[in-house]
Amino acid sequence: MKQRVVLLTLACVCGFWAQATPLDDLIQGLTGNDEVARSTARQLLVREGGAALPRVLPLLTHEDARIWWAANNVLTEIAGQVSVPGREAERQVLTDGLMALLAPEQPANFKICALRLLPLATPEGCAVEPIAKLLADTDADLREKARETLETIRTTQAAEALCNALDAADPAFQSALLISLSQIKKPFCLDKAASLASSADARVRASAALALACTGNTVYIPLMKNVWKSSDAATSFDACDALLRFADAIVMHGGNFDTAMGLYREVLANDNNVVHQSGAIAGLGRYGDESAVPVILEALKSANGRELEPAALAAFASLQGVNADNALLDAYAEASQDMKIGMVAAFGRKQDAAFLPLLAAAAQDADPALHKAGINALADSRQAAALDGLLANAQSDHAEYKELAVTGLKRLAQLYRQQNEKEAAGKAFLALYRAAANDEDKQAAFDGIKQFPIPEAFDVVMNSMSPEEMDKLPVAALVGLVKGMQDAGRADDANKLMARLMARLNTPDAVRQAIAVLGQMGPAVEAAHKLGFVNHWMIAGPFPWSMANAFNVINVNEPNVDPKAMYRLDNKDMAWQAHETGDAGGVVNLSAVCPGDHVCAYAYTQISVPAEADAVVRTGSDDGIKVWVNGQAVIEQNVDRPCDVDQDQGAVKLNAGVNTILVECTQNGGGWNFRLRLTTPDGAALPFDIVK
Amino acid sequence: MSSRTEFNRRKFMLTVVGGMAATALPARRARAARVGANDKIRLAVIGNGGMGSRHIEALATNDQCTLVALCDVAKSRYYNAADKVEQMTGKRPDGYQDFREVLDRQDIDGIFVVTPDHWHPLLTILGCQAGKDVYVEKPVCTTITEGRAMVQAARRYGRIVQAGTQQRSMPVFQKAIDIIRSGRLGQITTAGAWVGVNGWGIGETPGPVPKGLDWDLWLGPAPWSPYSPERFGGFMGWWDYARGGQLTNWGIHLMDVVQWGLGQDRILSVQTLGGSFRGGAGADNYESIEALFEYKGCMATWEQRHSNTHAGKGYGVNFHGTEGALFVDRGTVVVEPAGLGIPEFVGEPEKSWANPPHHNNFFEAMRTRKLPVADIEQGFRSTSTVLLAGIALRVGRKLFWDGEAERFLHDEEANRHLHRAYRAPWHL
Repeated sequence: MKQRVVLLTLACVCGFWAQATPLDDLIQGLTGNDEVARSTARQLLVREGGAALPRVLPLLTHEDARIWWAANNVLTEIAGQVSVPGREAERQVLTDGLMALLAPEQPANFKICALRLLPLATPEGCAVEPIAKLLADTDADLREKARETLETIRTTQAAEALCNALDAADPAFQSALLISLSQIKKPFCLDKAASLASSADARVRASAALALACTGNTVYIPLMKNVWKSSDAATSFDACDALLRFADAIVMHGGNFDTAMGLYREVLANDNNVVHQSGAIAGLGRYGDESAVPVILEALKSANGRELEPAALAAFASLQGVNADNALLDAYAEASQDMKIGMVAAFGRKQDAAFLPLLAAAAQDADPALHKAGINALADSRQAAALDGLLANAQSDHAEYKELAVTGLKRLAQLYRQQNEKEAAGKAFLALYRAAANDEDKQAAFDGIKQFPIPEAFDVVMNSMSPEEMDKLPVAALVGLVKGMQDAGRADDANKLMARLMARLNTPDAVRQAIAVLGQMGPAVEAAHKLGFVNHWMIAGPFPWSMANAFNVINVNEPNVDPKAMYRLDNKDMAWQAHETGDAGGVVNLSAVCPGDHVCAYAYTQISVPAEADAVVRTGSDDGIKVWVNGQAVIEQNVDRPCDVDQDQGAVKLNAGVNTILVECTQNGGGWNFRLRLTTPDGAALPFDIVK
Repeated sequence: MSSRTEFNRRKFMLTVVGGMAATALPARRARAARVGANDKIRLAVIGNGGMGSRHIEALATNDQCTLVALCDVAKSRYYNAADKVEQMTGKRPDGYQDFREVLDRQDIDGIFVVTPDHWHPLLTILGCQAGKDVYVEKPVCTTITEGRAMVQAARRYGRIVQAGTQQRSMPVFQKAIDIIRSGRLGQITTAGAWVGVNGWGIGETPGPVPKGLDWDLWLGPAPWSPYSPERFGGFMGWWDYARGGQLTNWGIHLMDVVQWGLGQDRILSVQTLGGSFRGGAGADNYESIEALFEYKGCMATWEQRHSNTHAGKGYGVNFHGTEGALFVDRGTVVVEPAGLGIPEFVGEPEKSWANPPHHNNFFEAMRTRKLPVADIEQGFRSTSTVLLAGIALRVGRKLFWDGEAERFLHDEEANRHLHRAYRAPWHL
């Protein structure tokens, strides 16, 4: 009976009532026994937005859990949809409907349903009295649900309601309300929280201090200290935690640095609890300066000193700034040997170059414990300059030092690789290569060297490997080494290695890199010739062309062309013209020679080889290309593409003496160029002469 | 120094924390234990159900640690788990129903939090406050506020907190990240992760609390609700305990890899669609979800679908670069095109979801006080990404995220979802 009353009430309040609309079908689906229909209704009702609310809201009170839960889910999503500007009216309908379920006469389970949804439905500015009244309900569960709801709503009105409930609440609920206020962080609640910081109940005082902690307002210092000093065993942690958070907040707000440091120092000096003292030291470390160092050192001399060491070392690792570095270096000089071990570890994690000399010295110390700490700290420092110290230990005869150092080198190398710091990674892998004691480490290091070639690695490659081993390495990586050597001014070494590699440039990647390297080593024409590119051509064009025609239109009597012939096109005479490309990669830029769109051009040349030879013609083109060698078609690609090296290849047998090469290159639009080179079947550049 | 850990002081100094973790407020109830380089680590596992039992089995045979305590709100679970450990090791760990008794023990160095999701944050924070190092299963939190509080607690109390995103310790994923970092795939512009749907149905049959189960403690900070086997056994379907279902289950694992590969852990925006279209499917959390994440210079997708496969793989991550694409799952790394010359990498077969190398990394961090591979900050940020997708699904609109402030831009209504109120007396 009560459910029917609620249904009727909600419908009247909202001013709607069931009409013969598609909503009927959806509501029927939501409330029927067909689970597929229910899931469909759950999906589609959300689209109806506010229009669905008068029909769905009453279903929250349905006795069948499948139905009220489905209604709850639909309303959850509608609440999300209508919480945007322009849909305030729909949201209001939802909020009013839910608030109506909080009326005193409604059963508790209806109220709980509404309280679950109200955080999503209640906008800023909306009155929350129905929820606020529940904060004083005799039912403790409802009181608690209302508090949770208001904390999640987080509006000004919600915070006011929580604040206003404090006076009448018992200490346990006061404490819970204050925790809610500490989460909402509304300034107008602070006075109330401040007044309760003097409560007779220690729980309430500690919760009030937590609510005030985020303010960092120095006005509250006496209160915060009093809560801390008057805390009992059950609340001392929360009270001190609040004071330390308060000091953190003072620092973050700025302007009262000394005050905050004073609070940390006060806790350190006056609270004999090691955990509280450690927290204070942590604060000094996170936010302090060089003045924190002597304070912490003094604490280490106290009765609790040994137990404070972990906190002190963590603080040393956190302290920032040149002055703090200097203070720590001074402190290190005065520290006991035991303390030095811990300090070295902490300094390593600072990742600060200022400590590198100290770490390097530690990594050579006669005391084995300090020596090992130094090695680990060098690796932790992540400084490229630490590699030398690690390498020295990795190459020592001391097994333990060696193992630690190799591990450190691996870590650094992997780190640099992951961060793509090429120079540092190359150095780290090189150091690892030199230090590696087993094949697995050596191979991993060499893989790294190949990936990040640096000039210094050249000697490793040349001196450490047999020619057979070198031949197994990817040629592209070796060309990278050549470039590195060249950049380092080691031109002779670069030339030697490059000469050795010329026979192995059998991948497009290697050829691309070689073009770049050789182009820097000498004249571009020479580079092109070394790579087998033909750079001298007779060119005729442009002739009309279309993709549909492909290579089917005969323009120059191909393949039997006469480079002395003349052609007439659009009342203009056209002759073959000589062209020599100066590009190291042999690119013939037809756009510059005979520009046009939807055209083609022909390039003809003669080469000579001393003896009959099997060869491969390799071409790249923008756009299509057809190649005849000695009148025989060997490549045909009717494509629209950018030009790259070695995009196509065709095997040919060259005659001893003169051979002819004819290229037809098409232009569909944009760039227009081609390149052609001759290689042996295994990819090495084929020596030949141009016949001019 | 605690009574149990009177080990050589120089050994401690050699392994003690430096690092960014600021040691702060140590024990709330117990003194922080210090684990030396050669000490056996003494552990408790809180939550002894499905995933908990897998961790227990793996830890029982790990010679770096000793399982000294098991804890579950359901007594039968820790009884059964203790039986198993006793069979495996000959030693029976102590059993507890209330985790507070575990945290009170001064002889426990670390805890594994393998409870339902809604308990992960508070147990982690309380563990830190009790001076324990913590391994917390993913998702590490259910709201952004919780996650940030967890990071703060770890730093404030100087504790090691490892997230249960164990793929960070798997060579197959490390290999994939190495390839991506090498630049051979070119610029990564898109990544995608996918898996199957939720397996949790609707419907609830409330009833009496089973004997031996502390239902109120199971609920903990979540809103009070009557006991039902569907909530207890299928918590991932319910918004109160798990904010996304599969999205916050496999979603964390795979989006963690996406973010690892992209080198970014803060999204710019998120849009999500979802639905439960089968009859009887999905309690609060949808079965099928598709989310689109925007990162600086790239984007990523998440899919959970029925019969979801890409190239025959039922789950995994794809990275798409300007020069090539990479697929990775727990078995293999495949790079295309073949012309890049990167051969398939086949990892070790996964024997259990509890991953011993990830455990060992946690133990190493406990000994050396260095950050673990899945430090709580990173675990939180990976969790955040899928939580934000869940919020976008709830509010039904594209959301822009300010990763620095950890708030949505221009959308205070969406920002309400970043926080949840805890049931008293529990609080962050």
